[in-house]
Amino acid sequence: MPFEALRFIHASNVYLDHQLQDPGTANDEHKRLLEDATTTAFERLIDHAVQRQVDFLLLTGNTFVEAEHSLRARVVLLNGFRKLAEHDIEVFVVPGAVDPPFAWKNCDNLPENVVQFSIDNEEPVAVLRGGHVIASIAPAVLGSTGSRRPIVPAVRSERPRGGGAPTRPFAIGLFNPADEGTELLPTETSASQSCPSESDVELEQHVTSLLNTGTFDYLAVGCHDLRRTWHGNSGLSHSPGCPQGRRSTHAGPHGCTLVEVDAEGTVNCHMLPVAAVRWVNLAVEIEPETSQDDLLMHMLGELQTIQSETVETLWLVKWMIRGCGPLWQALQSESLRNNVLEFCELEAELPPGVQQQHRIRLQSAESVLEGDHETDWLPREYMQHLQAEQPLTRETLSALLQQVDFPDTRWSKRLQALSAVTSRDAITHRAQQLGIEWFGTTPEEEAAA
Amino acid sequence: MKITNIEIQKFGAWRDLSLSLRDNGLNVFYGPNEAGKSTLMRFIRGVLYGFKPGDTFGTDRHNRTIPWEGTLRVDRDGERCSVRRTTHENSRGRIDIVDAANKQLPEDWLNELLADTDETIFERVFAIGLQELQELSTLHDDEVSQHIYGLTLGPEGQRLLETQPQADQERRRLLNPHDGTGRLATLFDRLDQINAEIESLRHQRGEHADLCHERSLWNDTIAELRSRHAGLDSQLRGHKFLERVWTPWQQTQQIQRELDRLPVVASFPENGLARFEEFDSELTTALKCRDAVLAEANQLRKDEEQLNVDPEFQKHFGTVQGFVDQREWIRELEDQIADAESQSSEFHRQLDQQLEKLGTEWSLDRLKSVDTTPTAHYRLATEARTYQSALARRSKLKRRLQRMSNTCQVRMGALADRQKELHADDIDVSLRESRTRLGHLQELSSLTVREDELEHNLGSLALHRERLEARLSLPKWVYGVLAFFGVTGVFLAILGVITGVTTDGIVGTIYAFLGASCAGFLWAFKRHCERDVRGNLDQLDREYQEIEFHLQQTRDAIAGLRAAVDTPPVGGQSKKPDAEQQADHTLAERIEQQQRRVKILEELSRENREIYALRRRMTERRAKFRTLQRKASTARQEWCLLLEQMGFTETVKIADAFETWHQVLNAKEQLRNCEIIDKERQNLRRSWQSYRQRIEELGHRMHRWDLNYEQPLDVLDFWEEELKEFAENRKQQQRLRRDEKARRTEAAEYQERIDELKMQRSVLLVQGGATTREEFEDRSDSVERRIELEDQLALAQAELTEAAATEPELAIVEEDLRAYDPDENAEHILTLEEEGQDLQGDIEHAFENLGRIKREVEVLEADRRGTTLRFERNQIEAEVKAVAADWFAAEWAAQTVEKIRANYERNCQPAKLAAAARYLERLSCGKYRNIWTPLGKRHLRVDDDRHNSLVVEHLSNGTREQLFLAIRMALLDDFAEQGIRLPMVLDDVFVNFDQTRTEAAVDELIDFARQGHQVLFFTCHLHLAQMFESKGVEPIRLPEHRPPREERLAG
Repeated sequence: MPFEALRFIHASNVYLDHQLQDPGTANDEHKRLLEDATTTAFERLIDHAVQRQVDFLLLTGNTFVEAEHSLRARVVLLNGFRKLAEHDIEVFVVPGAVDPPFAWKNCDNLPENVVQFSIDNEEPVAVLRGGHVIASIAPAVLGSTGSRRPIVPAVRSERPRGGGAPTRPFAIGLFNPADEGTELLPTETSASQSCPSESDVELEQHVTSLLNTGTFDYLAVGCHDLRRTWHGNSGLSHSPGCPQGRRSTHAGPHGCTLVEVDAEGTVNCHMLPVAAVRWVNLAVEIEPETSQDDLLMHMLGELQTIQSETVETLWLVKWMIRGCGPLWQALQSESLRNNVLEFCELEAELPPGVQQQHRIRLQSAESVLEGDHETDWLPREYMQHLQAEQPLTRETLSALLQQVDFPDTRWSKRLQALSAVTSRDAITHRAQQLGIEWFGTTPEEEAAA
Repeated sequence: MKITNIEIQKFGAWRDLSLSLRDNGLNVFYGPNEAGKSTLMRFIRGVLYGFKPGDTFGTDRHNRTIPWEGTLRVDRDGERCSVRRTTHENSRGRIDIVDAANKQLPEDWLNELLADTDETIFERVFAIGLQELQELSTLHDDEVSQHIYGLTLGPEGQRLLETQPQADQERRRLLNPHDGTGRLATLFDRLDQINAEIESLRHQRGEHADLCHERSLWNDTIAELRSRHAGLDSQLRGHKFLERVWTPWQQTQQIQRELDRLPVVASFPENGLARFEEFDSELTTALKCRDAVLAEANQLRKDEEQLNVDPEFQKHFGTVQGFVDQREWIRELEDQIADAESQSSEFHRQLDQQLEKLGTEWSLDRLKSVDTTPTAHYRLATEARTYQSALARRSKLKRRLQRMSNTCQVRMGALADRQKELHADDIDVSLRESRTRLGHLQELSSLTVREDELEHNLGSLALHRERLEARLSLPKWVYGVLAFFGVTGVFLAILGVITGVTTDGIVGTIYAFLGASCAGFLWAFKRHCERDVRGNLDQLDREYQEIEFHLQQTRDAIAGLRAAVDTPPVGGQSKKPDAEQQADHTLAERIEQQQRRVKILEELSRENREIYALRRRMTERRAKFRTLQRKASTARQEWCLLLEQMGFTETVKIADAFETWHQVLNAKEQLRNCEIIDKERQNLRRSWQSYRQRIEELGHRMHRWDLNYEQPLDVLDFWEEELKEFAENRKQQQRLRRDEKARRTEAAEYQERIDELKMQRSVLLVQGGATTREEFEDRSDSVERRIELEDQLALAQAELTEAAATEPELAIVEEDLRAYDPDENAEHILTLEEEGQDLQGDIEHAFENLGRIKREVEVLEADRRGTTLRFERNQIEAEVKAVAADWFAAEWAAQTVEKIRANYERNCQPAKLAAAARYLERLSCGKYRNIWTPLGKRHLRVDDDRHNSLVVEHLSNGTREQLFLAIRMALLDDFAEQGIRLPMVLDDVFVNFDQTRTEAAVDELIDFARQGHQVLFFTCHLHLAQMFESKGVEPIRLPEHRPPREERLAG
């Protein structure tokens, strides 16, 4: 059955005015870019909607963080909605974990073009063009049957004005994994991910089961930071990811999705990059014989391989230098690391308009932990003790805290809480480094030996 | 060192005591209290290290003159000696050491005996009483503790010890929870501060909502006020429209009425009166101007006529000016002529000099006839190159030939000298002979060696034979036996003869037979013993003969070869007598000499061949030289011929020829320059003359007869002055003419204008329908008034139309205008304007409020504090995580180090403590098993069988004494390993031990003594003495003595 061709933008996890996690030390210019990263992405998203004359905008959860009470987020949101209203573009909003329904209800002065969905209200909403329905949007709930489609009044087959075969509305389902009984955390500060309990496998199962009901032509998945598409028998499901990566795990280009449906019902999803700040994670392995020049050339080479989007203005490059040997030891010196980063910033041929901010994290090779200290008993013993504690768990850290004599519970509670969010790798690496500092031999000593 | 005997003449309570100690190492001294056990211990220490004042002070108050003295007899590794110490004033006693032979030994010997062991150590380790045993401090003396705890912790222990403060420092740097300092605390403080600031911004959204609400209220108010204002404005506009329209409407009405009253004048010229007045005025002005201009023209004509100009000069003015203009050229021409003449003379002088250089045979004609074209130069250069090349090749080959010839002669001379030295007339023959002689010498050498070898073999065989022959002589006992058998045989034979003769023949025969048997046995036995030796002797004889044969052959060959090698060589080698030669040289030297000769001859032969080859090459090159000689001659002839053809003097020196060539070339160049400059000079002179003639002709034409035309430049200077004067006059004349002409033209123009104005004035009167000026003025006034009224009417109508256009929605009828009352309308307008102003004030107030609210909203919306604070909070949270990771790592590392350290402390203790732990385990019957000290500290800790770690202060008295005894026993073991063996003196140290541990201690002490330690154990407890006795150690009972009561010190 043919459809009315339509076009809309699907975005999720906008996190308006939410700040990026651990972007590193930034200068004033970079700081401004970083602070405005999420709002910039949203404004670009609105501009895309206007420029491409979409039929509507779909925001599937986590548009802003209610717990932060950000006025700026609300202002940017309302300005964007008003701009869309001026161009007769409707906005369909699904509350998420961090922007629950009550937060949307508290939003005064929402323009009339904004339609808010909630879990309680499963009624489909019709999208009209020229007086007839071109699409229906409804929340998708696991366990519900495919009988929702006839609910929409406009689902009646309509004959187009110019004659021809009757058409039916394009059915869009809104699926927010956070709604499926997931315990949602109030802020992202304490949550490492938006959908922490939703593993990819479970999500895929849910999406597949929803698609297989045949109820929806397009299942809009929200509250998922990763951009993914699942194809079903009668439609497809899509998660646009977040328009702006908020932490280093969100590496690569980010944006929203332009969904285009032609008369045959073929759905095409194109990513529209809107993220001004891009996280770039690069790993470099160094061997004992690697020289500093080799390392610098390798790093420059790695940077050259990255394809840039035109909207990007700042790259947050995080280097993971893994290995061992004299150069790796020398990189423990902050001055040398700064020299390396300075060289990268000066020599890297980035696309025009893109600024860069580099950081280095060191990770020792396995051989260091396993103990390459055949002759020295003490470091070997130390590393063996560390190795015996691997993998480092929260329980290990709790046991560690119990050994410490705290004068009161304030610090023990704080550190107990930190033990849940602190990087175990960082702890292990630092402990190894301390061992090397305390018991290791300097290159001079190795030479003397 | 072991004490074998204690002899006390006088010490404390003891007098004339002599105690012999047992050899088994353990000596138990039993005596009741006050028996003098402690005194004995002090005596031993005093003899070894010197009496202390406390030992002797206050004693023997009745007889201080008798010194205290005593002797210890000691045994050190089998070396016995006795050490006697006698109290001496102001010293620790005089010491006498004598050996077993009663020989005095130096005092230093005692230090050797004690192995330099310090007295403190002896008192606290070797000789201890119960008091020393109970005091922990006796083990904490620096020297003693060094022995217990070891001088070093070892590299690992040291590093572990150094690590702890580093770990503490790292932890404190990150967090010190006790005083709330450290990086983490700072970050948390900042985080709390930021959170508080963020919390303080939480009301912003509420404020923003309130402001937005207020903004909408003010927007509504403004809209209402604007609506009311618009109504008032509409009424006001109506009244103002009426007021605006009424005035032009009324003017229209009045103008129309006046127009109707004015007469109608048809076709009156426009602006007729003004035009008439204008014509009159212009006419008067034109007449005045014309007359003035004509007067000026006449005056100018008169001035022109007064100027005087020479007509002849004016006629030739252009030509004169031309000549004057060429004056500089004439001056340059004269300079050029002078330069050309100067150059010409210089060139001629140089040409003459160059001709002189070329020689007297060179004239200008010859110079001109010489061909110096590039073709000629090329031919000359080519021929010169050919000639030079031929000469160079010839010279080169000649030099080479010369060198080869010299080399050849030198080498031949050297060869001849060496031949002469070697007496080799013919090298090849000498070489062959020498090689043959060398072969003979080498063969002779090998034969000589062979001869020596054979002679040696012969000697060996002879020696061997002698040895074998020696073996033919049998041992003496054999000869004894043989003699016995021989004598017996003879005796029996004699006896048989006698018996046979005297008594019985048979018996005699038997005796004789027995005698013969003895003789047979004697012979058979001897043969049997010599059988193998004789076989060997035969074999040796055969070998001897064979070697002798070979030796003879060898000697014959040697003789032949000697004859050959002693023959003088054919090549002329000098011959020496054999005896002299053999005396001079051995065979080896001769071989070596011959080898050297062969080698030299081979070199000479090679040199000879090379010289031959060299001479052959020289012959070839001489032929080549002759060819080159011919070519050089041909080239020289051709070269001379060419020089002759070219007009040069013949010479074989190419450089001279080319130098001449260059000189000729320069001379010809100079000649050409002379010709050119002469020609140029003539041309210049001709030009100058022609110019001068033309000036003279012109001067004559202008009747200037008195000028000097031979100096044309002076003439031209004069003419230039005249030209200037003439030009000035002419310029003045032209200006006057031009001005006159202009004045006359102007006068004509004025005349034309006067005529035209008269005509126009007449036409104007006709057009105005008037004949006189007055009539024309009346008619003009009527027309102007009508036009004025018509303009006013048009203006009023336009104003009316404009007013109507401004308010198209308002319509006014004539009745309203007629009924219009201006005062009443003005009053309405005033009222409405006042109301409007009030409303406008309200609106402005509302706008002010709205603007204020908008500004507040803008300020709120532009407020980035929340964003910045959250950004900073995220940054700090990230840093908190990083620092927390560092803290966890530091804590983890510190605890790990603590574990390693704990293991190290228990398992890697100094060997002395380990040994002490073993003693303690036995002394405490297995109760305590480990002694250790925390790293870097000198505190003893003891682990019991339940792995409880106890400090010394927590141990019972008995256990503590067992611990200290164990440590001292371990120390003695250590000292013994270092070669320091001193007796251990214990004064009743088991008194606090229970029965079980006392038995264990006794056993341990016995074992300890068995290990080689000498132990002197003093006790006043009988059960202890009996216990030792039951273990096989007989106690030594100290003798009773009754010293005066006041002298008692012991006990």
